[in-house]
Amino acid sequence: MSELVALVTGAGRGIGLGIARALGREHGWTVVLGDLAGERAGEAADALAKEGLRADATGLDVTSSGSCRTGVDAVLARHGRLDVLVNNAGIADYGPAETTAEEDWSRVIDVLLTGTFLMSQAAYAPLAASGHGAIVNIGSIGGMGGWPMRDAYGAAKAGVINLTQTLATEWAHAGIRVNCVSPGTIVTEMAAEAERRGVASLARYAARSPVGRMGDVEEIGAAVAFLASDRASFVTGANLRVDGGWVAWLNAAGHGYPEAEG
Amino acid sequence: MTADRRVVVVTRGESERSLAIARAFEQEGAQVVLVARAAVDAPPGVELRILGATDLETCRRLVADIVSERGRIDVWVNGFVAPEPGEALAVDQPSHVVSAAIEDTLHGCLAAAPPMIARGEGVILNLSTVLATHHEGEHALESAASGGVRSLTHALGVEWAPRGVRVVGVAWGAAASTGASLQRVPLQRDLTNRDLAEAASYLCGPGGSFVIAETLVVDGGLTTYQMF
Repeated sequence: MSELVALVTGAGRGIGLGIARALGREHGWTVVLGDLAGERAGEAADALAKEGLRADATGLDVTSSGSCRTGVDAVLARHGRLDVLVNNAGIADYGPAETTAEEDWSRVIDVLLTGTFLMSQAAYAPLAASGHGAIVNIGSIGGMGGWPMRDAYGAAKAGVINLTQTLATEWAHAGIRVNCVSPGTIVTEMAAEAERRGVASLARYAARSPVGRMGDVEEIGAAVAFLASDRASFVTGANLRVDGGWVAWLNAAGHGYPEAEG
Repeated sequence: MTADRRVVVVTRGESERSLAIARAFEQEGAQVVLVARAAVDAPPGVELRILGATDLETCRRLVADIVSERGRIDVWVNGFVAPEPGEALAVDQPSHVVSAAIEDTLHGCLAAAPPMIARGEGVILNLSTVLATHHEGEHALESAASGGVRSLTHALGVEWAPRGVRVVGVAWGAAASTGASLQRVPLQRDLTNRDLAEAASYLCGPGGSFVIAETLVVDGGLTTYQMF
């Protein structure tokens, strides 16, 4: 299976880069790193290539169906096939619902939810032709419950989880499996930025987690590597939480919550 | 080199699911102990232990024996044998049937965890079926037993996470045992034991290190599919 080709969106850094690295290392697949910041994706691909992986990059705006098609065409032109798509590209929002601007709401929905749909649609034909076709979407524990001030993010991620189920049942006949990985709080630049902006506390995240720490991008990469491979050939429509037990914990004492910790 | 090989214990060895998982771990290079109610054909390289009862004391003695012989237990897999299907009203002691199935898993967890907690490391995998969340035919007792196992995975996963023990689950959905036709399964085939073994391998391996208190559904899309 080492001849397979995977496209990971939002792969210039963070979780997406961790996923691309895991797919390359674990399976020997060719990984194409898509990112709105094409230059960043190129540098990340160069770094992976230096590690001995087959990596390549393409600029990609998942909110544009034209860009999604161009990205898939570029993968096919360079590598001749596309077997695995990982819909990871994402942005975060933060703000009270009562004053959220319509364009801010729409932007988050466009990238997370519509982007996942448009990219999947663009990749359908090569995935159906693959014989190993698989999509792994990146959901979130934020799509499995209420996180104040992340209205569009939570709604979009819940949408991604359902789109996973719908496409899993709709495209099974084409041999395409569709699954979702829902990360908990993960150590990334995006999380660090959120802390710098004062809208997240990484110490609180760790305290709120049953396992007492945030996750690493490698742990998300390993989950995606499993679900994307033929090892999971009977798994479709699943949403796998990789969250250190976050969602399973009621946390009655409110560890990590501002109300409880002042 | 034996000391470097992971020690994996798989219970309910009389079921083909447990047998397959034991075989897969052995092939990965682990030292595997298969625990069964009666004599079974253990895969090559797998140590078979017959355990007539699954009360907590018996399970604790078994764990103590294995730890003293092999030094530790890295992975403990609680197999699952569903209560026989049948009209719940016609079963003489339905509560006993359900509690016995749940207690197998509970006692396995309670016996296996202490030495893992002492080392600050270990994985417990609980098998169950998708009937925990989706009922079918005359499988009410299987639903109740699976639901109990699923909740235990949830609860003990949270409880032991700070102490280094991961508790996770795999819920399988098989067309054959639920009476579903293969046309009803989106992937158009039935579950194989290999599918379960692969899921177990991932969840119990290093890549699963942030998966806690979670049960992975392996059912070919059966329970996701809301047909129109």
